[in-house]
Amino acid sequence: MAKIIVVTSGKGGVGKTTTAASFATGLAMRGNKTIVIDFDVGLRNLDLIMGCERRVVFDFINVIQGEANLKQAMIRDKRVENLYILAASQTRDKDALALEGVERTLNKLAEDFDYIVCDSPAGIETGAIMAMYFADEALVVTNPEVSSVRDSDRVLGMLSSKTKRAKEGADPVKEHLVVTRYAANRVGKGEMLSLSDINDILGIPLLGVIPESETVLNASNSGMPVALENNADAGHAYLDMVARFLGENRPMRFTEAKKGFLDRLMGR
Amino acid sequence: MADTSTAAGAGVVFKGRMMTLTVLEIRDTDIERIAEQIARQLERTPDFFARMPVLLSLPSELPELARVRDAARDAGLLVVGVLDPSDAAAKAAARAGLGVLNSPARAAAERDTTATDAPEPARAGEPEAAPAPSSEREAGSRTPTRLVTRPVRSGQQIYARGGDLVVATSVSEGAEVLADGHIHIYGALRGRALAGATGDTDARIFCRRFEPDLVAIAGCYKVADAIDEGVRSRAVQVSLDDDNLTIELQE
Repeated sequence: MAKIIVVTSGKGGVGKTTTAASFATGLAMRGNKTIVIDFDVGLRNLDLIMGCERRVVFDFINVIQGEANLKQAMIRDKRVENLYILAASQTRDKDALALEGVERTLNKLAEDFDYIVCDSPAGIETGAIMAMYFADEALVVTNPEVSSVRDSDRVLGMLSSKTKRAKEGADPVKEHLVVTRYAANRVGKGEMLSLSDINDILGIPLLGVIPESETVLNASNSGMPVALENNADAGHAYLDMVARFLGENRPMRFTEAKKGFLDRLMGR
Repeated sequence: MADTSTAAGAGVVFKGRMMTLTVLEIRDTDIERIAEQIARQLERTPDFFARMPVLLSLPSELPELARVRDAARDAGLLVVGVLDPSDAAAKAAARAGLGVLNSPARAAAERDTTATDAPEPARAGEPEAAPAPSSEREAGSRTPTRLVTRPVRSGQQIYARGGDLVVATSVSEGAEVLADGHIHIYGALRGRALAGATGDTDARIFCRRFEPDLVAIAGCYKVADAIDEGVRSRAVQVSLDDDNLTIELQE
């Protein structure tokens, strides 16, 4: 039986899709059969980040509405074995996501996969609720700034009240915090919230810290999940995160400001 | 009301429910005339009223309750109690084996009105008036304190109706906690806390770390901007003193 993981945040532009793509890639690189599903119907992006936008024939909505079967809609990643993508529809809107259709599709996928990663749209409306409804675990993606943290708090409230697990009184959805676009030197200057500030407000276990990095933008533009970038801090941070998710003990990296040449010289 | 009292290991659970009940207003004392009018009224829509539970609203001059009950039963109605009765009517209701229900406004005005056993307490209309065993009443009738152990997240609202609220963790910015009684927060208060929501001016707010958006007691409020910086992030007690919201440090 597959584990269903939702990548969510409330706020837009914090790195949900980037995180979903790299997380799924990391899981697959470690031999887990993984599929990543774009729930952002109408604003599909995951296919671009995964670099498979030219191979989308059928999408998630086609499957839900019975216009195509899963085999036709699943896109196999060319770089990583065991990794599949299910794109969102760009021409429909989020009302096309019906709960029973989503459930049917996820159940079908669960027979075959180890992990199902659901990339949630921003907001707290239908699309976001559909993405989180069947989740077993959640990656809550937050940037170190107040509005993002508040929106994540709102989403955490929804995870504990609007999901299937909450409604059926089962064990709650397991929550993980992922802090993206973290710039340790700016935290030091007081321009960004620190990890302890964020933890103070959200109070859920930290799974990973992804440093602010130009590589992320470049990788996204070239359709390459950051996790596949061998010499990028952000890529390493994502692979660490996947390892922690799978139960390995890896110390947090990239949380301290890099010392500049002058700092070292002056013993700071 | 959401609270549930479960006797340990028992096969019985008492639950409060909000329901709408039909009130049969009696304006006459002549049983014959009452019976005839009920029957005529129900003849028109017999299915709609079949075995429907009703409350009686009585005139000051009482008809004989047992006979009214029987007349209603013959017409297919099930009288479960009387609404807002006078003392005499309450006694008559007890004799006729009927329950007593008080509407919330009246219940508040007369807290110690004695209740009798209603035949179907679980279906009683207003929870405030749900008949309680008299022994419990004497021990101070109040709703159990509501305990919240998970963080109260932004956008959530928690209301402890009729009692106190204890939050074991934090209340996030953009969340709201309300209680008719006191509010205790053992983590940080970053959202809104409103104690004495139905007007109890003695209600207080206690919190271990005070960073609220707003605090209020019995409708008297202070927003974050109006709160002295000296109490920020400290352990405090908020009380109401002659329409003045007082925030004291608790060290």
